[in-house]
Amino acid sequence: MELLELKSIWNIVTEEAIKNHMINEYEVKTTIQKDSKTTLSKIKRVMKLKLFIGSLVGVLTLLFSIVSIVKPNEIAFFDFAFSPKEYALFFIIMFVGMLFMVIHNLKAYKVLLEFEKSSEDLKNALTKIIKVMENAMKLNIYSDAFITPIVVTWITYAKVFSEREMTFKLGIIVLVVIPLLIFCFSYFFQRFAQKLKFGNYVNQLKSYLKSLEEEKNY
Amino acid sequence: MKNNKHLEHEFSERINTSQGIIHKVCRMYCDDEEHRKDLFQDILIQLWRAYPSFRGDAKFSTWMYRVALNVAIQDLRKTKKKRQLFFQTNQFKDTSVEKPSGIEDEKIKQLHLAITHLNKIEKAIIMLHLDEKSNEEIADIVGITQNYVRVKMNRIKVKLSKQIKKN
Repeated sequence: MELLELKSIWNIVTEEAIKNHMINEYEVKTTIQKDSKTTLSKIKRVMKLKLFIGSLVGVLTLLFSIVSIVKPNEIAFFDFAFSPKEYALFFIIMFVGMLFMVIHNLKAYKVLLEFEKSSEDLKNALTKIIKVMENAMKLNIYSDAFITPIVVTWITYAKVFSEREMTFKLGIIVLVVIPLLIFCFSYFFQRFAQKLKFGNYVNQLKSYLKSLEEEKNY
Repeated sequence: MKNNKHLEHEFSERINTSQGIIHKVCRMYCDDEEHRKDLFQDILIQLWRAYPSFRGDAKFSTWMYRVALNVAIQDLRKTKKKRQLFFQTNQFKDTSVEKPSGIEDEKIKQLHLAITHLNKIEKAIIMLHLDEKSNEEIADIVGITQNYVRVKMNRIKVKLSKQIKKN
């Protein structure tokens, strides 16, 4: 079968597909209101949810940190473990962490929105989507690697120092060694999880992009 | 709001006359009916999202090919091997109103088998070529030089003819 013959067969196949699956204007209008199932749309939905939760937690931690400074006696939960100063410090650290996460998430979300609205050629679009995917993966890795040690350290801190006095050695273990270990664990675990989830997809996209790079001696 | 309604109406009208492009892309990239429907929907949604960026400096069909091919290439869904084989032998019989003759049916099968061995980028280039797009337009849609389009086309032709002979 020659290419010319291939062309005529392709025409038969596509004419048939168009004839049998033609949709009208009303169907076009209803379809564009539906949720997209593309990978990017799914990532966008997760980002939206993270932005919402992150902002909510951020606002709450900001409120609590202000209250714990202005009216220290108002915050009474876990008072067997934390002093008002410790509360304030915990909430300020959490607030800064959340702010950092929300700002980066928002930036990544904006890039994704812009990319969605663009109509680049295949090569440029592949370059951009690889970048978007890698940024989304990095964001997931780092947000988890930063937030988990903060939470775990403070729980450990409450547990350890509610029963005993703080010593230099114990302070180093709880406030330096544990956060570092948890950071390393969360980082490598998330890196592995993200690679498992999106690694093959990104590699596939990279191989398509590579096939579009012009070789010097063709 | 009124502006958006107007844009939606304009978009629906344009799609109504040019939807063949989306059907062709779905036909090229999907092996089964369910996948084809999903991809059709995703392409249509993406076209709508990107529609405000269409400024008319390119042909509407060129712009549609760009967006549609991008969605198809970035599509993550996979078809299970067994299911794929099932549809490969049955799909043409299911979807045709006028059944093609036995010889044509055999050739369609050959075309399909040959195309499944191409990667997504090669599928895009051969599809544009089969749709009689010029090398200039293909280069514009894919984002490579016209010379490289020629090189790619030659390689694809060799790959296809080898595959057809094998089948």
